[in-house]
Amino acid sequence: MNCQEVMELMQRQLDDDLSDSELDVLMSHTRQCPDCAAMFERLQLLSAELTSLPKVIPSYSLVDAIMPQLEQMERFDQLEETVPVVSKVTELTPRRAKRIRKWPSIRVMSGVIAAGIVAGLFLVTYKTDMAPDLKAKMFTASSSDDSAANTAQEAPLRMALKSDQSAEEGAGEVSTETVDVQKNSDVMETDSLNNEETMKDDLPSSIDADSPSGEGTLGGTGSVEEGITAGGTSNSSDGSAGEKEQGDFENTAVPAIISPDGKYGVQAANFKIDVIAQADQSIVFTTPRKNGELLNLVWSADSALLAYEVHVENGAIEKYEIDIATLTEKKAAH
Amino acid sequence: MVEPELIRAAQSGDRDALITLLREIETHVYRTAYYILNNEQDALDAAQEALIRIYTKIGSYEEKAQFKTWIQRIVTNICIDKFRRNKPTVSIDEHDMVFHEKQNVEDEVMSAYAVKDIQAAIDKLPEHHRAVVVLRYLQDFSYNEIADSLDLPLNTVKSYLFRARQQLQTLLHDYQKGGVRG
Repeated sequence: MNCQEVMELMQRQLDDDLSDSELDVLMSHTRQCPDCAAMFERLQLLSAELTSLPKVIPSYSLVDAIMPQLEQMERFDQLEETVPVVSKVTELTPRRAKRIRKWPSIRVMSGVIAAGIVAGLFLVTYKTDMAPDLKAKMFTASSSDDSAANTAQEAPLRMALKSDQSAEEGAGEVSTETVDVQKNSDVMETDSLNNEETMKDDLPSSIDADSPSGEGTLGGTGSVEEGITAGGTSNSSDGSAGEKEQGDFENTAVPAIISPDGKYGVQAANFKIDVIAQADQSIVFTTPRKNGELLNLVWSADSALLAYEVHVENGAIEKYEIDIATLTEKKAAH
Repeated sequence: MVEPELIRAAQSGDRDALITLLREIETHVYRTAYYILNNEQDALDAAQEALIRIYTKIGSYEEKAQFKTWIQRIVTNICIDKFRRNKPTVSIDEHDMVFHEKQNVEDEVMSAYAVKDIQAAIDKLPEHHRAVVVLRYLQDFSYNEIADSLDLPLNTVKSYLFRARQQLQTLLHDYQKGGVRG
């Protein structure tokens, strides 16, 4: 056995890996070979030194140090579990859409308002000569997709298209709008912003979870978004009905829908409709409480009648008319 | 070193068990990182990262592997991958592994090597050789356990360990002679 082969035996001996016979071979060799004996001694010394290296311990508790991170990850996990529920809302079943309306109220509204201000300021200040990448940056800051910048540039156009909007949009549309408003929340233009703001200030009850009856007015703003993203074509069939109220609707500061002659306004809230005399803002008539969403409030051309629809949970639609002269309400013929 | 019951509880979502488990292993994790990285601050960072990874991956641990080799695999991977420094290490393969060094036996000073010299010598080893030495001497792992931890064939582990020891011996011998030279 040459020295090279003995070297491996030495190494394995350091790890207690030799059989008795192998150990005999190693020992008999080192007795005759001083170089191997010296090397073996040095290796044994080294191995002993390595074994006795200080058993260092961390200077502080590592687990305590990472605890905040672990807790953060725990919270993130919990958040992740709820995310799929929220994203399912975009599947537009009316029931789900309704659920999402419960919480957007103040938090989302304020986000919408802030983003709207940013978008508004941006449009006023920079117009079209801005570098596109900077725009994109601005809008991604308020969490949106790529279309955000484009949609924002269309904002003036959207105001014009508003005349195409109709109050006739059904409950199905409403759910789309809700999602839409949230998705594009950063591109809300100042016009809708005003409406949102007054909704919040004057009609907190209409944002109430179980009374989506604010849709009669809110639907106006919401459908603006819808009209734009759909290219403004979806509602043209009902254009006449929308145009009738459009003029007043746009000029009014409160979200009440004003009659063509300007004498009365109507507001839907809490499953009821209030008829408000515009002269002194007094409520002259309140409908009985209805069991569904109050939508599509439309004045007749002579301001004598206000027609509206009650969209009941099961999908049925009941039509009502309020006679302004007598301040009575009756079911309209279908 | 860690009770199987504790591991199972941690895997089944018992967060307190998982934290207890991390406390039990943190010193072992840190010690490996310390000797591979040869730097206290880097070792603290790497050990924390390893503990976080163990926390998140505990569900993927399978009992067919030893738990201690599973955690050492995580910490050595972090040390080797993330904290890989572009510093020169001696190339083991270039070195003549022939045993005869033609040195005078009289020159041998069999005094203990200084700990800092040993650490400096370990630091000069290529990273996998270093990891093998650390697992062998700081974690007291067998060849097989080292092979499992580093995902290396058994023969490679032996080869790395033997070459690393030979290299360390040479380096430390040079240090001692260097000490004489001043």
